[in-house]
Amino acid sequence: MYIIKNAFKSITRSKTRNVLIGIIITVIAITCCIALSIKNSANEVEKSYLDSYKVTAQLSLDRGALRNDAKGGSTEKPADFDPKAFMSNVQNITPEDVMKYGVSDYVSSYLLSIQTNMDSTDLTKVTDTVATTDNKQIPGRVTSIMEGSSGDFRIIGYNSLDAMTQFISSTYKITDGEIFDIDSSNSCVISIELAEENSLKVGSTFKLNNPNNEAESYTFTVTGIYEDTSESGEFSMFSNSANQILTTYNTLNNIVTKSNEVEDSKLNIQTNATFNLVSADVVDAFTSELKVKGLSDYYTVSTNLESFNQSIAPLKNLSSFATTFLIIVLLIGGSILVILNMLNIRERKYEIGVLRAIGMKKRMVLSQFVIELLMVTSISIILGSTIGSVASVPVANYMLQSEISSQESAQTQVNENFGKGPGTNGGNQVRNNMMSIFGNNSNVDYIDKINAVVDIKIILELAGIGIILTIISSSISMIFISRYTPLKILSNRA
Amino acid sequence: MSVFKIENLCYSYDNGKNLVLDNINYEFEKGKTYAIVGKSGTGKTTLLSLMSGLDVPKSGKILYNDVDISKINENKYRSNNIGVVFQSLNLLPHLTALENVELSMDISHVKVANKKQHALKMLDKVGLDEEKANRRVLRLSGGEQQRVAIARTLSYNPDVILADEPTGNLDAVNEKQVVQIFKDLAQKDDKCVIIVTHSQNISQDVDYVYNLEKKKLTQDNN
Ligand SMILES: Nc1ncnc2c1ncn2[C@@H]1O[C@H](COP(=O)(O)OP(=O)(O)O)[C@@H](O)[C@H]1O
Ligand SMILES: [Mg+2]
Repeated sequence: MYIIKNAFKSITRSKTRNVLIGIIITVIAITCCIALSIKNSANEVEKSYLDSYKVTAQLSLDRGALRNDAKGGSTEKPADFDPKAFMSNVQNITPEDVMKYGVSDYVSSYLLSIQTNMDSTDLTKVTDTVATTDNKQIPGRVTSIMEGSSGDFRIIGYNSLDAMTQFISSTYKITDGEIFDIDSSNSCVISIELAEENSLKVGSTFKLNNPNNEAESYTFTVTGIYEDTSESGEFSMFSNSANQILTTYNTLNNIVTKSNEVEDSKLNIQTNATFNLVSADVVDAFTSELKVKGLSDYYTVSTNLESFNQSIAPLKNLSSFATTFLIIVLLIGGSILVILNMLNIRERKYEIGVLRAIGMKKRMVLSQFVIELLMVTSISIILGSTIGSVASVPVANYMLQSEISSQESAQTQVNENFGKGPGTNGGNQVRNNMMSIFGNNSNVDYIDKINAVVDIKIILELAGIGIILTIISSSISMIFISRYTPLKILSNRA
Repeated sequence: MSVFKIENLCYSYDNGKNLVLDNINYEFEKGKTYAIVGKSGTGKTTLLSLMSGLDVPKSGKILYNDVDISKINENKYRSNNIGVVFQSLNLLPHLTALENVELSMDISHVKVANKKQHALKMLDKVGLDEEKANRRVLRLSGGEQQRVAIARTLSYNPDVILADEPTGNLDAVNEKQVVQIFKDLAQKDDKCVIIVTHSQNISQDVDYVYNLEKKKLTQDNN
């Protein structure tokens, strides 16, 4: 087709005009490429974060509703209605319940802890005048009412280090020794206050006994001493966890089972459970499954998706910033391009007039102008996206790197809280957990992913932008070419 | 049979306030040269615009081979049936003389074995050698540009050639040569050549002269 040849000649022989348009489109392409790659990599990180985010569910008793219904509530109650019996009919969650609920396609693992109170003949309780060591209820956790509990020391058993949330949240920190092996029995960590009061060191042993049956006693070995960094009670010298002994679930469960063998000496326990769900999509299915398995309607299922949404907020902000930036660049760049094209066409009015006067069809003239624009636009976009993708990789990497380094510092902190160095294997389970939260990927994988996004998606999006810009500019040409008759153009000039 | 015919042609500017062409009639034949002579502002260029289909008459008809040109596709009519050498030449400055001719051939879909060779032949016919053919038109003199414009119209072999003041900017020698080219086209190639001019010199060299005066085209046989 001769118009292609003609378009090519027209571009190469009017360099200044086309170089100017080319530079503007190149700049638009570079900025669009960077904005798009930031947007896409932010979305990508968010997506992989969601894919690997550990969605957890917890069960909590809706005491308000329970009490309300026990008092009479809205419905008519039979004459022999007994509020106390009604309350106790709502079963406390037991470790057996948790295990039953945990066997589910929706659950990848579950964290279980039980706690009870015991006495000791070896140890002196840490007290001051106002110190409180009573069972503080942790909000959102399954807790049962401790009926007639006695015992000076609170003992808590965990089925996994991940269940020890105070260490992960840095509330507790090992200051001497290290955390017990989760498979060990009768090893424990104790508070720094308890250790000092009783001159206990790492490796020391002590006895705990059933408050209901003093003959029933167990020996524990101290593997580590922790400090509670949370605020203690206003008038207390000691932390709320001063008389607290932490051990494994199996150790405490064996003690509880034993206590049941002797009449009236059974230890009352309180159960906490957190279920790790396979994905965010199964929350509703898991909830209905729990009801089918017999969970009382007075229990509600809560998840940590709220905190997920909070943690991706910066990514979301970055992505929407990039989108806004992109729109502004396109609007400004598009307007400049339209104005330039108008000037360009005005300048070429004579040429249009000549071509029409020697019999070239309107649509042929238009096609030639569109082809010229397409040539300049595509060359500029290829150039711009090359520069843009080279420039956007450091930008995206910088963004990712700061993301990753904040994740890594969080990991190092968790290891330290357990009394492990960052390099040791001790906190492996936790570290694996953290790694899976943050995508289960090495840094290099992240960068590779972003490069792939630049390659395909962005190039397509840029091509789309180029087509839109060409269409806008072409419609300007079209209006001019159709509006001017060759006579008008040529006689204006003469 | 006349190849070109003007019947009762009227044209005015400014919504009829400025009547330029008033009831003009005439016929043009192949193989003849015609001069339409008139002082500046008498409407020569206006008449040529109407004949080349760039503008439409207020009343009356222009017939090409007895067909009203308003019924012929304007692009086809301009690119194949008539060749116009405009007063302002209308060459494309970013192209060479050769490329200007070739572009016209492309637009007219001229079927020749070797397009470039044909274009060079047309340029040679009006006295431009290959070196000049490959120059950008702005690097050619006024007379040479005039020849390029003529060669461009010849390239697609139209029946009628219209030229507006073709010798307006030329010296006496060049004027003679260009007029000779037009005469040859009529005599050797059987074209109908119509030259619009204010120059009395041309009148002596053409077959028929029409005086465009007092808003009427009056015939004046030589
Ligand atoms: N586009 C136009 N609008 C209004 N009047 C015009 C226009 N073109 C030409 N005229 C007028 O029409 C008359 C004839 O002009 P033109 O055909 O160019 O004459 P010529 O070519 O013989 O010098 C002049 O009086 C001129 O002023
Ligand atoms: Mg004139």
